[in-house]
Amino acid sequence: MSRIQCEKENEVREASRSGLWTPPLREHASRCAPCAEATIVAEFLLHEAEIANSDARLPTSGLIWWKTQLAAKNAALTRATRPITLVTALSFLAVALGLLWLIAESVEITASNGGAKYPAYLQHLLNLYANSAALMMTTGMLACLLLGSLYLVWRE
Amino acid sequence: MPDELQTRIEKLEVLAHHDFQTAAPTIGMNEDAFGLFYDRTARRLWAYLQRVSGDRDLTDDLLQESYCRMLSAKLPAMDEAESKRYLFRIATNLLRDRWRRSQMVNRFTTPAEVRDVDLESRADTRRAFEQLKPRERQLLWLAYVEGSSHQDIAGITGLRVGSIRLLLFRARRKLAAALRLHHAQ
Repeated sequence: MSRIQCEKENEVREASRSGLWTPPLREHASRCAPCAEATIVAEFLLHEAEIANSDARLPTSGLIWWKTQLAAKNAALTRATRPITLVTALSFLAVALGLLWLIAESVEITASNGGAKYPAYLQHLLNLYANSAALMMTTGMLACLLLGSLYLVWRE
Repeated sequence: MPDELQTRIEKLEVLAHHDFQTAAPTIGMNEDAFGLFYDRTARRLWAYLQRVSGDRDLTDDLLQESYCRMLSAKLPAMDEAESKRYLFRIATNLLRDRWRRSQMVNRFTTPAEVRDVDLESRADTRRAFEQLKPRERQLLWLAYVEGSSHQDIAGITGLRVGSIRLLLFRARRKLAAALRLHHAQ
């Protein structure tokens, strides 16, 4: 059964990399099976590395530095604007719900409104402004949104 | 001057294709130190990625991503050898992720310029290396080209130190046999 590793294999590897062979080590590498294998493999791979090194077309370090800085700035910007995005989304949701409620109420009033002198939707808006409960609800909703926004900004 | 122009063009391309969701919270090295580190390591990393993956485009992508990730990480003070190990570990992990995602095993492309006198012969010997498993290529490259110790290889590849010796032996034996067969022909 063949040996897995020779105790001189690291020396052989280093000699192959540096090209600094001592005569006894060269002699050993020619007689020892693991070291002979290591030499063949090292010579092949080092030559491959040489070719690959000369083939490499690299971007400049400045470009990579700049790219990383840009990514960091964008990440910071995303974090900073997250509360604003959230509040905007909440506002849109609130407006959409408010509109749905208005439409639903208008349909209901139109159905029960026989000979009124104003169109149904206008009548409904007038009623809405006259109704203190609806105003309270709207004010409360806006106050909640404001407090939520302030909290999110404060957290950041 | 052409280099500056190329950098500007590359910057514009980055702006055009930049993924604005990628996070890079902290930069732990100043630009000059990074420039020096990059000059010493970039060619070696490129060669490692190219010869292990066999894909030049992937290599270009992963090279940049590896350095960006390294710069973005919150790192303790490291000497150059540790930084290089860390860089190679990032690159190896990225490579592994790409393999997992695309199930890519061998996608070797011919290098743009092969400087050997005997091109066919060189291509044949290269094929012997390409036929190894990606992990075997990684181990051999790290051990024989980068001169990494078993412990370093374990740190870079995520394998156990104890299993490196045997895996390396098998890979070396396989490659040596293929190279000998080629030389015999």
